[in-house]
This record gives sequence, C-alpha cells and structure tokens, in this order.
Amino acid sequence: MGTLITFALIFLILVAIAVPVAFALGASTMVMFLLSDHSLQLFTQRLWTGLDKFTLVAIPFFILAGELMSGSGILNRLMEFARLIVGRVKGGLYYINILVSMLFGGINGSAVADTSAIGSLLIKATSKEYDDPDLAAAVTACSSIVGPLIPPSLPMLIYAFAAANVSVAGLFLAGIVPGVAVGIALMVVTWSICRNRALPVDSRRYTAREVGRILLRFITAAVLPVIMVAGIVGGIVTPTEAGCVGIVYALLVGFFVTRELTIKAVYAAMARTVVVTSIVLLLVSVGNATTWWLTIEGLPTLLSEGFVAMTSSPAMFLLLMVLLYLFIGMFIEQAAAMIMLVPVFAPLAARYDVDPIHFGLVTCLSLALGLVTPPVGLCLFVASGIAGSPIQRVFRVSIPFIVATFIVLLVVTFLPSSFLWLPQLFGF
Amino acid sequence: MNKVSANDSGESTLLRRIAAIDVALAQWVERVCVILLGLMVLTTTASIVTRFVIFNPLNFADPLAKYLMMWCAFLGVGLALRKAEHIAVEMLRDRLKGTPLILLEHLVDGVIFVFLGAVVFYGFGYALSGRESHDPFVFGVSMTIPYLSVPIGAGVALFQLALSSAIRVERRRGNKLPSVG
Repeated sequence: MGTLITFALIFLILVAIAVPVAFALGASTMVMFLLSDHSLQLFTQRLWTGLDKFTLVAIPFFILAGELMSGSGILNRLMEFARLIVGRVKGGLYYINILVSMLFGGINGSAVADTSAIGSLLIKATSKEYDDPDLAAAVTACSSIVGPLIPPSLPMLIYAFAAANVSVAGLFLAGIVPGVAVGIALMVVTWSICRNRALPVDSRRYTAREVGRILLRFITAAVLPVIMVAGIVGGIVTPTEAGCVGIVYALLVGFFVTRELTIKAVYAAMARTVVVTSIVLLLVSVGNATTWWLTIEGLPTLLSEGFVAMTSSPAMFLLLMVLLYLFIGMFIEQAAAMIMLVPVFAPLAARYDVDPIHFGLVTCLSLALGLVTPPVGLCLFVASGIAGSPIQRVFRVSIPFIVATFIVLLVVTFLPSSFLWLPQLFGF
Repeated sequence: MNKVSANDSGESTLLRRIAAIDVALAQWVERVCVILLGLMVLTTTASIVTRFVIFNPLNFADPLAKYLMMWCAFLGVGLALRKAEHIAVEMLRDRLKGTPLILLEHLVDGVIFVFLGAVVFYGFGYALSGRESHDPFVFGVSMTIPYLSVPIGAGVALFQLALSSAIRVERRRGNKLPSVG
C-alpha cells in the first residue's frame, strides 16, 4: 500500500507541475520500478510490448480517415444538409450546429477537432446573426461531446484496447442511442432558451432539384461512417481494416468527388496524424508499463477488495465510478484518463457483473463531460477562443447543456437496457 | 536601435544554427513518419485486396504494419514534444510569471530529459537482446529492428527537447531568432 501511495504522490506532483501526463506516468513508474528492484530494461520492454498489438494500427487509421474527411470539404455538405432539415426553425443556426456535430463527429471521432472545425465555420456566423457569442460557443462546445459517442468513435476504440475484453463493434452500436439522445437533449435546451427570444428566421425555400442535389452531396459524405461501422459489425473487416477502408474512401472522395483534396493537404493530414498518434500511443505504451507494475503490486486486488467492502451494489459501484470519472475528467483529457483508468476499473466492473459495453459507454460519456467543464475543459477553451468570449461566461451559458447531458449520462448509467438493445440485436 | 556586442552576436549566430538544426530535424523526422504511415496504409490495403480478391491474405502485412506503427509512434514523440502537444495539466504553469515560471519549465524539461535518457540507455540494452530472435512472418527480420524503435524514438525526442529548450532560453534573453514554427 505504501508503494502505491508513493507512486500516486510522485505522479500527481509531476502532473501538477505541468509535466505532460505520459511523461509523468512514465517517470513515476520508472521510479517505482527502481524502488521495487525491477530492471529498467524490463521497463523499456513493457513500453515496446504495449504497442505490440496489430489492433492498435486502427488508431492512426481512424485519425487519418477523420483528418482526410475534414480536409475534403465534407463539412460544407453536412452543413447544407443540416440547414435543409433544421434551418428554418427559430435559432436554426444553433440546431444546425448540433446536427452537424452529430453527423461530423461520427466521422471525425474527436470532440476537440469537432469544436475547432465546426466552431470556426459556425460560431462567428451564429454570433453575427443572433448577437450572442457566448451561446454560440456553448452550443458548439457542448454538442461536440456527441462526436465520441456516435460511431466510428476514436475514444471507443481506445476504450476497447484499454479494457481488452470488449467488442469494438458492440461499443460502436451501443453509442448510437446515447449519442442521438444527447443531441436531442441539447436541442431541447436550445429550444427552451430560444423560444422567448426575437431571433431572425431563415426563410429560404428549396426547389425539388436543390433538395435532390443537397441529399446527393450529403450521401457522399455520410456514407463513410456507415461503410466503416457496417464493415466492422458485419464481421467483413476488422476495425484496423475499416480504418484503412475509410482512408481510401476519403482519398477517393477528396480527389475525385469534392476535388478539394490536394497532395499538400494529404501530407498535412498525415503529419497531423503522426503527432496525434504519437501522443495517444505513447500513453498506451507507458500505460502498459504502469499497469504491469500495478498488477505486480496487487493494486487490482486491493482496489477490488476496497470497493467490495464499501458496496456490493452494482448501481452504487457505477455511481462511484461516474463521480470519479467526472472528477478526473475535469483535469485530464479523455484518452489519457481512459488509458490510465480503464485497465484497472474494467476488471472491477466485471466483478460487479456490469456489462463491459455498458461500462464502456459510462466511461466514454462521463469522461467526455470533462471536455466542457473547467478547469481543463478543452472544448470550452477552443470554442471560447473562437468566439472571443471569456471562458467563464461561456461556461455559465453551458450549464443547462451540461445538466441535460448529465441527465442522459444518468439514464445510460442506471437504465442500460435503454441503449444495449441495439448491440444485443446484432448479437453483442 | 539595438546594439549587439561581439559576444552576443556570436551567441546569436550559434543559436540561429541551433534553430536551423531544430527545424531541419523536425522536418526530416516528420517526412520519415509520414512515409512510415503511408507504408502502413499501403501494406494494409494490399492485405485487404489480396484477401478479398485472391482469397489469400499477405501473412507479413499485419506484423509489418504493426512494426511500422511502432516506429512512427516513437519517432513522433519528439514532434509532439516540440509542438508542446502532449496532454498536460497547465493550471499551475498558467498562473506563474517571471523566474518561478522559468524554474518550473526547467524542472519539467529536466524530468522529461531524465526519463528519455533512461529509455535511450536501457532501450538499447533491450534492443540488443533481440539479436538472436527473428520474426518469420516479416521476412525473418531480426527483432532488434522493431525493438530499436523505443531507444531511437526516445533519442530523437531527447535531442529535439534539448534544441527546443536552448532556443526558448535564448529567446527569453531577448535574442531575435528565426521562427521555428
């Protein structure tokens, strides 16, 4: 127990002084290896074996597919479609923002990228139209949480690797209902805010020909996540191969359909993918060494005994986990938190007979909420930066949206049958 | 009007060179990583095509893509470090100014430096332990080659960190250097 406390203290001090999480985890684990008389050559071996899994290749592939799709002009196509569907409602631009997040987030899979891409297109326009930059930023930041829930989702892929015993296809299917539910909840909050405001309404009328053109352009963009998810769920391709198919499709669309992709843009997307991949995989690699040491030190057993002594109720266990995730998510980014926590807590969830897919969704959604809560709400920072509004004001306006998402989280946590029916329908 | 002494001028020239090395190294590492990523995509695409078209998957494709990913990931650590993109909690740092901030940055760099240095040193030992092992699926390659991704990636990151730190320190002293963007 003493060594575990020492480890936690070193890690927390390093994180607090702004050592990047991966290096803080690595350095504190390295110290514990030395204190526990394990060789550092073994430490480097654990770093290597952490990445010795072919399934991890899916991570750079998913990131690259998202980057390429972002650079190939599909966002404009999704925006046209969203404007067609919800543009004429009062406060239409807010609804367009949420709907595009649901569509684009599914392709991109990253909440922060979603905030940045959609925010740069919509926040200024919405602020100008409705004269409320705080609300425009709040809607953009909060709706980006939907992205990691609707498949194909990078955080879910990372969860599946970290938990080791859960099907990627099952997780992807399970995310659809909560993702749509969060989107609808955000729209309801938007409606309640906008209903008593005198906002200009888009009165544009579409001809049948225009509708047909918009739908056709939309299908080209929206078919990618469908191909990827259907391929994985149908057992036709592995998640890694699905990522590869996504890249090839994005290249074909970008070069031959939208014609917005250039060799230079592809290189930039690949360079960006390399950096993001390295950040995530360094965490996976170091996390493997940490998990190995924690297992040797008996942390999973200690933790398991501690939780079981505290409560035998799966519901209480889940509530404790949600609170823990919400707290940690306030300080540490979703992917990093998952890589550190899931290998420890997923086996514990199994001991409480919590469905691994259910636990995965609770983990993804709880930690995603951290992206819009201070002090380290990345999406909030990005959106307020684009809007030019102080983050405190954007956070204040975000509170009803966060509460609505929290209500969906409670439903996901305590009524798993509300969304597990979909993966169960496909045999997961 | 800024007057630059001979000594300052000498230091400035030296640091301009450091900045140029920093940019050149980052560009080369980025190019290598992009090529590795491209090869990963090509290898996996070829594997999918052969599996569905001639019903005969390429046995080497999966482990090769994995080794390429390892090299790409570990080499990319320095790129992310240089751009300060690794996930960090910066609440304390954001509140500091002046000397305390400088001391904190040195401390953070020091921790990363020691960590990477240890990974380089022990990583080479681990890589050499793979001399006698071979991967029969990937053309019988010696396991030293994939194992080397760890120490070489850490070594490049270490070098990149040293260059970035030197540039940051000198910029703070007021020297004007070319952008290292």
